[in-house]
Formats: sequence, C-alpha cells, structure tokens
Amino acid sequence: MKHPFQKVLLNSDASLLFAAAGNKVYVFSGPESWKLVDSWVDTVDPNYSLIKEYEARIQRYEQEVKESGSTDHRPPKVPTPGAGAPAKICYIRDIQLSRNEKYLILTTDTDKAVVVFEIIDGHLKEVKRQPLPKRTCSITTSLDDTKILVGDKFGDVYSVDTLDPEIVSEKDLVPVLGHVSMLTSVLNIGNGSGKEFVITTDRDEHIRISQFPKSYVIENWLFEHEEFISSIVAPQWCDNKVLISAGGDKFICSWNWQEGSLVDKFDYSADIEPFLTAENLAPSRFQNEEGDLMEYAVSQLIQVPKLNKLVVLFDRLAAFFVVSVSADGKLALDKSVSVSSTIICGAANNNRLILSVKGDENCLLEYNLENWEHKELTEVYGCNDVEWNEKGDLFASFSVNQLRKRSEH
Amino acid sequence: RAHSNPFSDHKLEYPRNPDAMDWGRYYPGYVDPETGKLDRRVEIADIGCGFGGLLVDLAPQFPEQLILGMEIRVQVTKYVEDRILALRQQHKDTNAYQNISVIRGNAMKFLPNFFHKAQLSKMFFCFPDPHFKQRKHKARIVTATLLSEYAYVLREGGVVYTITDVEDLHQWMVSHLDEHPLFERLSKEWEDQDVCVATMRESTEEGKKVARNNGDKFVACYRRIAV
Repeated sequence: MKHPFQKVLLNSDASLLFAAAGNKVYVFSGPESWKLVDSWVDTVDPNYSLIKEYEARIQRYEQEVKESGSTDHRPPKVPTPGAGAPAKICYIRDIQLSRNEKYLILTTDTDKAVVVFEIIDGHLKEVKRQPLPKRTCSITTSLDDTKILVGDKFGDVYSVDTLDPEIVSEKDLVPVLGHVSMLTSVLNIGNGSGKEFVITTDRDEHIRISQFPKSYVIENWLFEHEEFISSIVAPQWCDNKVLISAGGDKFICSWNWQEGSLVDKFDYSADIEPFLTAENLAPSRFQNEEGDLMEYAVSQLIQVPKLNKLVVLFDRLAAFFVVSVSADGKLALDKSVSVSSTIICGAANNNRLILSVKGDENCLLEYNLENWEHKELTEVYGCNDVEWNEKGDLFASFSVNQLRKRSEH
Repeated sequence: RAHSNPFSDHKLEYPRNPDAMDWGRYYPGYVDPETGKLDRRVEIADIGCGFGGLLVDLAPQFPEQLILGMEIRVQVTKYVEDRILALRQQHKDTNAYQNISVIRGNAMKFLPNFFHKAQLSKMFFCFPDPHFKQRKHKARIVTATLLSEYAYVLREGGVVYTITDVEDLHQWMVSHLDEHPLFERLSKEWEDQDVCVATMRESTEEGKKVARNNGDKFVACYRRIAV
C-alpha cells in the first residue's frame, strides 16, 4: 500500500503543489495539469537519536580509558531496538513556504530538524538543516522571513535564522518562549502599524499573544476554548484584526486579537451530525454506557483569500465545511461538502482546494471552489512511490483527537 | 507524596479565564453582599505553598490584601484548607485569617487562567522542588520561559521572592532571573529591610527544617521592571 500524503501545500497563485508522503516531499507544477518537478527524501537514519547517544557514550568511554589507562569497563553496546519494538515512523512533520515564497521550510522526525530549501523553478536546493532538541509541531516565519519559528512537543519555541549557514549545537539552543504544554501552532502576525507578534496555541486550551522579537513580553491570552486547539489562521482579508481558532471543541472562535476580545463563536455540532460515522465514536476506554458517544474535532483551518472564506477540515470525517468570514470576523456556514473518503489534510489557494484522503488509490482530490466540481489527481498520486507495509492503523496517527486530554486521576 | 508531575493531565479544576473564577468560595469575608463578588482582587501569591506556614504568617502583616497559596499536591492542599478554616474559626471575633486561602492547581500550566495581567504585587517561590537531574530542569518552577508568565501577572514594581536551601537551584534561579529583561535584582540592603524576606526565612515548614539542620538558606528577590 502507498503511504498517503500527510501534508499538502500550495503557493499563492496555485502554480506549485508540495506534497509530503512519509519522509519524502514532492513538488508538482501546474495548475492545469500537475507535473512532477522535483522530490526530496529524508535519508537520515530513523534511529538518529540512539546513534547520537551511542556516539556520546563511546566518546566518554574512550576518554575514560585514555585518562585511567584501565580497560575495566567494557565499551558501550550499540543500542538496537528490540524485536517487539514498534516500527519507527518518521515523517516530514510540517511544511511551509516563506512569505516571499522563495523558500520551502519543513521539519523532520529523524533528527528533529528544520530544513530550508531555496525554490528555483520548482526545484529544491537545500540551504540548511538545523536539528532541534525535541520533536517539532508547527513552523512559521517572521514577517520579514529572516527567522523561522518552530514550536515543539515540549512546549518551547525556537528561532532559527532562515539563511545563516551556521548550525547551532542542539545543546546551545535557547527557546524564545515556552508553554508548559505541547504546542499545536505557531503564527507570526503584524498589527498593521509596524508591530509584530507571535501567537502560540497549546493542548491546554491556551492562545498566547507575545511581542516579537521581544517574545518574553506577553501581551495577552485569549480564553474561550475548553479543549485542545489544533489550528489558527489570520484571514488576509480582515485587515490584521481577526484570528480564527478551532480544535477539540464543538465550536470555532473568531477573535479581535489586538483587543483580546471574542468576536464570534460558531457552533458546528448540529451541522457535523449528518456526517458522523462509527469512525467518530469515542475510544472504548472513554465510551459511555450506551456506546454512542461521538468525539470530533477541527483538524485544519485553511483560508481561501480569493473567496473570503475558510475551508474547515475535521478529524476522521469524509466532509468539509466552507465558512465565510466577514471583514470584522463574523462567521457563517456557507456550505458543507461530502467527500468520497475521510480527509487527512488539505491546502487551498485561488479557487482550488487540494485534499489528501484515506483510501487505497487515487487519494488526492482537487476541488474547484466556484463550481464545486472535483477531479482525482491520479497523475500526482501516481508519482507517490512511498510504500507503507507496517502493521497498525496508519490513519490513527494522523488523528488530532489523540490530543484530547484524558484525566489520569 | 513528596512530588507531583507538573506536566501530567491531572484532574485539575481551573477557571476558563480569570473572570470565571469564583473567588467568593475562597474569601467569604470579602464578598460584597450587593454584587456577590469580592470587593478586591488577590494580590499576593505563594506558588507551591506547601503546608501554608508563609500564608499564615503573612496574613496579619497584610490585613488589607488577599493572599493565595497554590499547591499541586491534593493531600497537602487539604491540610492547608483545614488549617486556615481552623484559624478563621479561632479568630471569629477579629475576622483574622479571612484574607488567606489555598487552591489546588498547577501554576506552571494555568497561572494566566487565575490572574489578570498585572494583578499581583508579590509572588513567592519558597523551597521549590530542586529537580536535580539535568533532563528534569524544565520541571523547575523558575525557568526562562515561565518567568515571562510571572512577569505578565505581576505589576510593574511587583516583587518575585525566592528562597532555597539548595545552592545549585539558587544559582539557577538567579541566573535565569538575571538574564530575563523584565526582572531586576533587589539589593542585600533591600532584603534586610523587607518584612517578607524575614518572614520567608523563618516561617515556612521547610525553612524551619533547614534551620534545625543548620543548613544554609539562599534568598534572591527581583523587581518586575517596565518593558
């Protein structure tokens, strides 16, 4: 079976499509028909951290032997995962374009690195690779594109120089801000009068607004969510005023983030009802007695500037919503669209929406957001040569619902 | 239990935001009968208040201010609750000890859920868990990144008080506070004249234990300065 695309990305005129399957990213040029231009595969050993640890131990051992001259201790063993160890799944975790669209930035699971590519006629030229201490979750760039901000599972945000070729040792990296919670998104935005801010969201319902680059100055927190936040967007047509957030709650929030006030709250629980299936049942451990407890979440908010609308994707759902956003942030459901299979992720620009869906073949769909017609991007999916032969539910690992907090006590 | 993991999803109660907090339960003596709300806000916080020794000693020193202890361990919080209730009962005639209270909570995760920007004038960190292991350092209560949150809830001119008997931890806290652009260390002379420093040295259970063992106590105080 082929590994589906877990991340897709379009540039602003929808002439380039980036799609990541497993540890490989493909670049297609379009938009009339998509042609493969380039690809890049992460070749770093999945056991990178084990190997690094081993190297450090060997070094210490040799130092000890040299100093004491004795060989009492045996050299450390090469660490190898046991027979029953689960397969080490390494992904390209997040992919983003710089704001000027000259650079593609992605993060890897192997060495937990940020990798920067210059895009030359659709070809990727690796510029730098900066490993980080912890597995990354989300990336953004400063408004001038000189810095990449990376949020990690430990709750810290690191600032990496986009082009400076110097690689900093992981040990010497100092976070520019941190939550005591897993981060779920990082987004830099401007206030329209020259000030820049970094917005961070986490698994504990928090949305934090900090100044940038003085990220130690917290401006505000936006409180309304009761569950994890999976996605935030600042719609381009809202004059730097509006921020939209969603995640494990049954509603989508719209904020005047500069004033710190909630503008609108769109409850989608009734609208999603017709699309829920057995896939959305809560896990058995947390199920109710009747066995009918449903759990759903927004997995991704995608802005479509040409239409002043958002495409809203949900966890384990074969449908997406189109939500219009007024200039002052009012939300209204435009339509809901049923899709042939569960959606994994998507990307939109101009009037195009690309969706990666669950299935055995032809798992990439393209929607025209004006006439709602869609086609299967067989030529694109055909280029995907990443195989998946491991046991276990691959799709479960794409579910954001695992971020839902389950009390331990 | 002596320790509690600050990173885990404890079944904790915390308000959705500072306005959603029902403070009347904690300070019934300060509820305005007309609005049903408190007539003032909490201003002093003892983070990781342990058995409440500092709270009890601060209460008469700041009779006009509300003081809150935050503690993550359930049994310890329960003990402090009972201790405060007993003190209030004993001093019914003077209404003493109405201005202190305790809450079970994870200050490292949810401090901004409890307090507004610039609400606090003093924050105490007394004998915090040293978390000796290198990889556990993020679990320390004073870190570069958490200091930004403390700076958010503290007003300009507000003070962070730290005391520990572990010299390593003291150096760690000092180096992080020194490096943070929103904090400025207060002098030895300032410490010597400050009533809270004296109280902090003498009144906590940990402080008394250290004194019995003739251990050292390291104090460092920092003022929240303007951006």
